[in-house]
Formats: sequence, structure tokens, C-alpha cells
Amino acid sequence: MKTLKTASDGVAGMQNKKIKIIFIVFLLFANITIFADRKSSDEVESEIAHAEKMIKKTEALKPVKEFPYELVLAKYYLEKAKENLDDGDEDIASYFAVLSAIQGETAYYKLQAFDLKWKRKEEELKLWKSLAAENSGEMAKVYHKMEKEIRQTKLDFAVINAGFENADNVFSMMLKDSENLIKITFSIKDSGKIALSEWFQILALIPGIQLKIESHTSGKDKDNLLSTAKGEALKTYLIQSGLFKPDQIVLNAYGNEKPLMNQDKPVKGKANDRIEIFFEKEKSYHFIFQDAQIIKKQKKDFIFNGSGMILLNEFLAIFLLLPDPSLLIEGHTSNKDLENSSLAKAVLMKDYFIQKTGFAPDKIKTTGFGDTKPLMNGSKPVKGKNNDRMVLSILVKDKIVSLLLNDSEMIQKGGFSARISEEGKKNLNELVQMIKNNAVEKARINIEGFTDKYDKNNSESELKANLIRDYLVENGKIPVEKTTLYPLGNKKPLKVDGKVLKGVDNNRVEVSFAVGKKYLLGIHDNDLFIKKSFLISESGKSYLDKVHYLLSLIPNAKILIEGHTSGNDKNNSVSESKASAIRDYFVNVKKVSDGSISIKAYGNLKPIEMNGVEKKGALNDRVVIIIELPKSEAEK
Amino acid sequence: MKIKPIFALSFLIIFMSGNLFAAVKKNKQDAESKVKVAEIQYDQIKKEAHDMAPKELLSAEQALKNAKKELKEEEWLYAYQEADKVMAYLTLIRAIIEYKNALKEYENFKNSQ
Repeated sequence: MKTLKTASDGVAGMQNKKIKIIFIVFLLFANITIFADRKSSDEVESEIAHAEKMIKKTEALKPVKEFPYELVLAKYYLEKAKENLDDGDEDIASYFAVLSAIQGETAYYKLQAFDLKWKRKEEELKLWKSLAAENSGEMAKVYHKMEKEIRQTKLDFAVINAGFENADNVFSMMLKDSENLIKITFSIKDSGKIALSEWFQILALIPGIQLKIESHTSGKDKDNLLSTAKGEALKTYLIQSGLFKPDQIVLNAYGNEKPLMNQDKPVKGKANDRIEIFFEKEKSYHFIFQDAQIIKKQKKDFIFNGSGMILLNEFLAIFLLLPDPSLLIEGHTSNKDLENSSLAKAVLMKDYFIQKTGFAPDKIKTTGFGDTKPLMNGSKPVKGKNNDRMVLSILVKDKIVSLLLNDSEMIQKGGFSARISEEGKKNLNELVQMIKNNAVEKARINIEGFTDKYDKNNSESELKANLIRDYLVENGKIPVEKTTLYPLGNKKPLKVDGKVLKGVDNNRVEVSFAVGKKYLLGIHDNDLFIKKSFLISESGKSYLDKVHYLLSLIPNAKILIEGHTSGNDKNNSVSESKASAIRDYFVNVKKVSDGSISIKAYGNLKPIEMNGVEKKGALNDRVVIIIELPKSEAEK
Repeated sequence: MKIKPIFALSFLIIFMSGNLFAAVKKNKQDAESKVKVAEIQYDQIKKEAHDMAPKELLSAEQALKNAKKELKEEEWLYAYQEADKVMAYLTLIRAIIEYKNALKEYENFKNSQ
């Protein structure tokens, strides 16, 4: 009996003709694959060497490992490049090597820019400190206060950009085990390192900050061993990064004692395998300037004094670091403000800022409070000259509430950089699913951006609409040419019962897609009904409320509700029950006229079609709501 | 010992799957939308990058050309990868612009002292 040593030995011994033929086909195929590769290994090796050089160059800038996250990416890609080269896949190896070099270089420039900005700030502070020292002890106090404010402010901007949850002054971030930890070993995954490196950028700003790590598990954890091990792994990693000392981190391991909560009910399952990180910020960023520090009165007018100029320039330097900031200036007085000087002071400051920076006047609001809002010491108002002051608040709109079909929070304009909130992403993902469920990829997607106030050149509404489009194109694979943007500013405010609604609720984005003259929305049963019933679930109501909002915008619209099933539906009874349940909700709860709604039950006759292929399975358990526009609307 | 055809086939499938996997990973739609997004972002930054990061802009342009060429040849994976490179170059360009602006501001600050 022959022994098979290698694949080629085995093949030599083959008697079977069929196998020979298969082998020849294989060889041909393998040859094609080999010759299809377009990079030589020498080329790839030199690309890898270049990437390594870039990484070394970047690492030489900073003693802290793996900072910023582009560097983590560069290293990750480098490993991939080497792995693929070893596997003989030169093309893929080359691709990763090129990416690694680019990311390495990006990290290099980012670090340089970060250092320069920080260096400038430090030098400004030094200058300010020396000026303060030359003047008086009081000024030195102001300096220390300013420095603290500046550091806190920078922290605030950074946490907003990194997407932390914020409740009062406590910031938190949840790290899911599945995304951050390698199973069993508790080593931190590359993706986890990338998430954590965002932290490094933030926490580097506040030396000595205290971190609290909470580690949780989904299942029972005897003596909290597992949760302790996880937490320790993270703690060790953070300490090894060089930015933390052990006494800056407090670790609490809870096992499964503190599950996640959803509307007061504990969530079960793997979602509880997580680590949460908290830190507390001292205060939000209001800058209080006493009049004595910054202004003097000349006859009836106010002018800034020398130290006031320095203070304000310092403030402006921070202010201008931010993309798209807006500002509220409050003027206060210690006595009754008969001449309205509190407003005059605020306007003086506004004019100074506009003159210095060319900042858009509508981004700066001024208010004069007179003596109506004195400083407080606990619950007691403070009396005296200290109340002659101005308060500058950089406006951070926690969320510019923008709505998808009126009730979803889409965009977090974390004050300074607009981005889509987590809730918004969820909604958009649902929307993409809706579009796909209905196979309306060919339909146009209209994205309308609105604001509550006058929007010069519609720039803000365009920015918001663009943001949504980019997300849909990149994550939802919606072809960009199928989307149309309508930046409309405040031209189309919301209406409730025929009355125009004012205020921030008008800050919204509306996404709609139409097939011909119809709006078509498909909603999967899981999103609509409580399991094994025709009762509408909470999420279902939220969908239907969106549809109802859409209806309220189109007077005289007709609605067709289609019920569909995945399996056989005897007499179409299931699909009819589903459609009826939706109709009843509209008629009974939302008071939509019964006459405008019709229903159709299709059973499994009209499965979802994608790219010309009919889809099978549970995907087809759905309700489709078609809103037919009245003739005049459709023509519009 | 005779090798049963089924084993030989399994062997071939396993052996080939490594090579084929990467090739089937990205489809036409993935590649087209990636290239489109890359092109939009490239157009947005082109003007500013022309002065600030001309070398990197050229690299991005070349990668974009490659991506389009690969699209024409229906090489979806390569088109996707080239578009990925464009996006990476654009990130680099943004970082360079950020750095140059910071440098300019720093120098202005120093000169104003």
C-alpha cells in the first residue's frame, strides 16, 4: 500500500482519470491566479520597508505608545501586509503596505499639528503669566483661573468629538467586550486599541485626572474573578500607555450584579459583557470677566483696558480653534441698570469680537441682565461690585435636534463639529433597511435640511443634509446620484394643527424616498408587532408616528396598507389582520380619516425583490404603507 | 491507496478558497459606491490641497484613476482597494493642511511677540 506523503505524491499515484482532469483544471486555475497578481515580492518588501520607516518616524515624535489612532491603524496594516506577503499574496500585501505608510504619515502630521497648537497655547499662557506677575497678585490669580478654564475647555471639546455620553459633569463610555477584547485572553483587540487611543488624546489634556472603570459580565461571575480580570487588563493597558499612574484608576468589578437597563427593566444576554469608563469634569465652560479686569468707563462709553485686551485675546485664541462656534455674551451690573449699560457692555464685547475675527454677527448673542441675576454664594445672592461682570458662554447645543420624519434625533452638533448621533445612525440604518426591504433602490432619496432661524445661503441646512447623505452613501450603499439635497433653511417650518411651529424643533433633516408619485415605506413585522400577535409594539408605534407625521404634511393623501407574509397565508387572513391592525392604529389613535385608508392582503404573493431576484424567508413578513400623493402635490 | 474524487475535490476547494476569498469579498455595488464617495471627497478637497499638499494630491489622483480603470475592467476588489487608498490619501492631506495651518498660526504668533 502506498503512503501519501505530499499532495503531489498523491496525485502521481492517482489512477482515476477524473481526478487527473480535475487536477489539470486546478493547475490551470492556480496559474491564472498566480499570474493575475500584479506586484512582485521585491516591490512589496520595499513598500513594507517604507511603511516601517514612517511608523518609526512618527513614534520618534512621542514617547507615548500607539497615539494617535492612525498609528494603531498603521501598525495593524503593517502586520496584515507582512502576513499576506508570507502567504504569497503580493497584491493584498501591497495594498496593506501602502495603507500602512499613509496612516503612519497621517499620524505624523496629526501629532505635529497637535503639538504646535498646544505649544502655542502654552506660550500664550507663559506670556500671560509673566504679564500677570508684572502687574499684581490679583492678576496672577486670574491667570491661574484662566489656565484651568482653558484646560477644561479643551477637555470639553475633545470629549464631545470623541462621542462620550454626558450626564451632568460625568462622562462615560461603554466598551463592549465583543468589540474590544480578544476572547478568553482578555488582551485588547486592535479595534479596542483604536477606541482607546481616542481617550489618550483627551486625557492627555488633563494631567492627574481620575478614572473609574466598571467591569461587568453577562453570566454569573464567582467572586467577580472574570470581571476583575477584564478590568485589570484594561487598567494595565492604560498604565502601560504611559499616560496614567496606577493611583489615577479605580477599578470596580461587579460580575452580573449591575446589568444594563432598558426602561427600568434589566437587559439580558451578551450585551452585558462590557466595561464602562467614567470620569468627572469639574465644570462647564463659562468665562466670567469682572468689569474691573477688562473694562473702564470713559464718560458714558465703555472701553477695554490693557489687561482686558489680553484676556479677551486669550479667550479668542481658544474660541477660534473651534469649528463653527457660537457665543452668548451676558452683561450684568451691581446696581439698578437704568442706562441699560449691561447690554452696552455686552454689545461692546460683541463688536470687539466681530472686528477682531470677522465672526458672523448672528453667531453672537448679547443680553443685558442689569442686576437681576446677581452672583450666588450657595443660595444667597452676593452683593457689591463683583456683580459688575460679563459672562461669556460658548454655546454647546447638546444636540441640534434634527428629525427624520419629525421625531428622531439625527445630528449631534456637539457644538463644534456636526456629526450623526448614535440614535441618528440607528434611525438611518433602519431607513436603509426600509429602502432595501422595499427594493426601491432605484427610487430617488430626497434629503431636506431645515433650521429654526434664518440660514444664510442655507449653509447650515446644506451641511446637515450633506452629513446625512454621506452616511447613507457610505454606510447604506445608497448610490450618491440617487440622492437629492434640498437645503431649505427656515423656509418650511413645521406645522401643528395648521399652525406654524416655532423654535428648535424646526432644526431637522427629513429624508424621504418616493416611487413615482408615492411614498413607500416597508416595515418588518419584528419592528411593528409584539411577537406572535397583531398588537403594535412600542417600536412599531414610533414607526407609525413617523408615517403619521409624513401624512400630516400632505393633505388629502391616500394611504394603502399592504400586508405580506413569508409563508402560506390561508385566505390571506394573517396579512389582512396585520394591515387592519395598522389601519386601526391610524384611525383610532391618530384620528386619520377612515375613508383615506385602504388595505390589501397579499399573503406570500409579492415577496421582496432585490436586483431582480425574489427574496425568500422571514424578510418578507412585513407591512408596506404606500402614501399616494394627491395630484397637485405629486406634480410639485 | 486510491483517493476518492470527493476528497480530491474537497482538497481543491479548500486550497483555492484562500485565493478566491479575497476576490469575491467585494461586489460591484461595494466598489462603485466606494469609488463614488472617494471621488466626491477628492473633489471637495482638491482646491485647498493643490497648494498645501500637492504631492499627496497627485498620489490621490493617481489612485482615483486606478480605481476607475479597475471599475471599467470589472475588477471590483482592486477598484475598492484603490478607492480605499484615495480615502487614506485624503485623510493624510487633511492632516497636512491641519499641520500647515497650525504652523502658520504659530509663526504668526511668534512674529507678533
